[in-house]
Amino acid sequence: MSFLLPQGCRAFIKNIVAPNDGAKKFILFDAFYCSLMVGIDARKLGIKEDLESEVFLNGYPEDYKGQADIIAGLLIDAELDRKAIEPENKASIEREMTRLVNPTATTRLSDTGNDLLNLYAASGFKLIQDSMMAPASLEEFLVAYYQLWHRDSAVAE
Amino acid sequence: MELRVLGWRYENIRGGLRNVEIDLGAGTSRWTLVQMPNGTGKTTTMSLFRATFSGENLSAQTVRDLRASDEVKQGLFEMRLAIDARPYRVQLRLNFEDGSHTYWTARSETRAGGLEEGLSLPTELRPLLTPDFTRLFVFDGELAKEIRAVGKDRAAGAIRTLYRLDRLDDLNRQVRRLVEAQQQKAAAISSATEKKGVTRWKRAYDAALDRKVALTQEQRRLLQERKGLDARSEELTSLINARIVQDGSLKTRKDALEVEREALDKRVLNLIAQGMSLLRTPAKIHPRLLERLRALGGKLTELKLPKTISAEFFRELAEQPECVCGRPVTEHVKEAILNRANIYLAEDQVLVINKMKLALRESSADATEFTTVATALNGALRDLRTNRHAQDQIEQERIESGDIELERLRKEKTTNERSLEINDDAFEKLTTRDHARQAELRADESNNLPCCEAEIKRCKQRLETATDTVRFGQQASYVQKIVSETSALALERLRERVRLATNEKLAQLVPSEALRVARISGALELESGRTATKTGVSEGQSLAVAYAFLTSLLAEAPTKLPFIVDSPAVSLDVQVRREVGDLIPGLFDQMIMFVISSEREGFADAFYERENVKYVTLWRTGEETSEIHEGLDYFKTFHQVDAVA
Repeated sequence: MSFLLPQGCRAFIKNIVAPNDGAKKFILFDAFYCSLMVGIDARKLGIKEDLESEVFLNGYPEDYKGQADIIAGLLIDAELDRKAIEPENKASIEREMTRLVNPTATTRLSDTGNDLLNLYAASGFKLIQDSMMAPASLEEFLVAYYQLWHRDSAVAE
Repeated sequence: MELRVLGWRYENIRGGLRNVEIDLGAGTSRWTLVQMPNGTGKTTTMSLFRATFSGENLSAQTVRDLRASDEVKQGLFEMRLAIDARPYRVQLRLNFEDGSHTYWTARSETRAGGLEEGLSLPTELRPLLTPDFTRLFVFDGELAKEIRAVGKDRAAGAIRTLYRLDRLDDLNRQVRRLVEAQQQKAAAISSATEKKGVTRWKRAYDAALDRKVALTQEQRRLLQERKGLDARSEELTSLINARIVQDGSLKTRKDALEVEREALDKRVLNLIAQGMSLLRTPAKIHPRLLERLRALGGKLTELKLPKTISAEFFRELAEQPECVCGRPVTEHVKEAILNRANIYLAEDQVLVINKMKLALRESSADATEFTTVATALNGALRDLRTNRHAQDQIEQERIESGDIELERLRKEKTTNERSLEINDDAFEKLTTRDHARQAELRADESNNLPCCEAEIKRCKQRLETATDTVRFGQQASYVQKIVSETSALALERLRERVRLATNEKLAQLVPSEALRVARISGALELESGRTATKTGVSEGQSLAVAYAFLTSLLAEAPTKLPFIVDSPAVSLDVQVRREVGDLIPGLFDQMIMFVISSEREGFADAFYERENVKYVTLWRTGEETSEIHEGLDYFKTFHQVDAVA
């Protein structure tokens, strides 16, 4: 399982990635994951060229290992939706699961699933960039990220 | 490769060979004895064989000399061959009027097997069939006389040709072509084909290394500067605080704001920890995600996915003699089941998806948690901003009351902060690996360490490519040297092998003389038991040496050639004839021997008891006519005074 960061992501989060700053620890995978969630929510795939060429991480970091099933489920859900597979189309849903799931991988995802995860992160990062300035602090980022998800509702006050 | 002669034909050739055809038959005999009295065209036939095998360029006079009579304008000699069992027909067409000649070939490969102009024998044979080499297997006694001086390089040349040492020369040519190709490839990449290219890329590589050293120093300088700016920043904060506390009321306000700020910082840290924990749980980011997870779990349950029947079930079923429905599982059915099994999830996939389904269905999260934390965090940030503003206000009040030093310290702090930003920007430009950011900052190998490292890698590759060209050339020369030495060594060993085999045969042919080949250099050097170098050799001894050498040379060669010989025993005494007659038949897969009647005794008669021998007697019946008789009886009893050639 090889994760690729979206292009420009490192610079965007340079002020909030701390090597090891207690509770403030924000790691590269957090940035990837935040982008991924936004991309998956938007059902939008980015392109390979929007990704860095070198893998920044193999496999989920400790904090995310418990989320492997959920992330895989979200990916399957996004793909079913993106491909407009009818909810009753049992065969197509099963085929999609066969395509995306690899039981032996720690992420539960096949190589295809892995590639799609990277592409969803690429599109998600663009949406993040569009909605906020490069954050000066992690607290600012958390608030801005929350606001991105709640654009339609009032800003948390 | 094997070459056999199946027959030949003459048209309008001198010696009464007006329209004569000799057919050796489909199952060509191993030995053919053609009895032709002197003056009936044996020498002519040998010349025609040699020319037709080698495509030799004949002079106009040679062509005209082959003319049967003044009345004929054209003549022909045709050989029928089998090369690796494939039929070939080669013609030498002679124009007696203008003295010209052409060669024609009919091959089974060509359309309709028609004749085409030119000598088109297989490519592999062409290096062998030179006029010089052809004389070795289309052999006459004349050559025997000069066997020891058959051209300075003929003996060694014959070994080189026959044992395909020329292929090693080909290998060297291929190596040369590879070097050229490598140089072209290198030129395409780096324009560096010669030492000039190596020097150029070495300079570029060294320059890039120097740049990296300079950039690394700059990185250290920026880090050092940053450290100084940070320290000064802290110092200025302390100095500013010290100015503030000089005023009692301001100090009280300031202390209260500091206490508040510390509490806010602590709160923010706490909220960040909570926020990060929530953030790392997809279901807690937004209720929409939670809904989707649950919906997917529900959908899978509703559709009874994953199916309880796995791919393994069908794979096992395919191996059973009968299906669960009772019908037999034929090969066709088995194939269909196995093909379709792949659309079902494997058992381990089913397990994982079931686990996932459970996780999805049981996803529970308070979707308001993130809202609570984000709202609290936003409030804390707002409070911090307010706190910072209030602290600024205190400083401003102090300055307005006339504290010039504080004003100076504040200005310096502002400048220091600006310097920190500049340092930060410079550090980012120097160190960023992000391609998009590099482009935005116009970072390149001159001002960015990762770009410089990439340039070093690029220069190194090109230098290696350029160096490789030179190294490749050196390696190629080395290979060529090895190949040449191998060729020389192989020639030496083959010469020795042929020499020893020749001497073994000579020991049988000329036992009394102890005549031996001492060395095969350019030609054959002989020695006898008495003298180191023997020069005075009789005609019979020359012939014996020639046979011993040629049979040794040709017999074990990878290309099997016929041995066509004229007057094989005429100059040998009867005893040596018998030896020759006993020895040489076993050495060739095909021998065609032109003999005269006097050679029957001692030589031809050695074949009489053998099978697989064809006897042909050809003699001239008039000025322009000839007659052919086949068979041993006629061969044995034929008597005609040899015509004067």
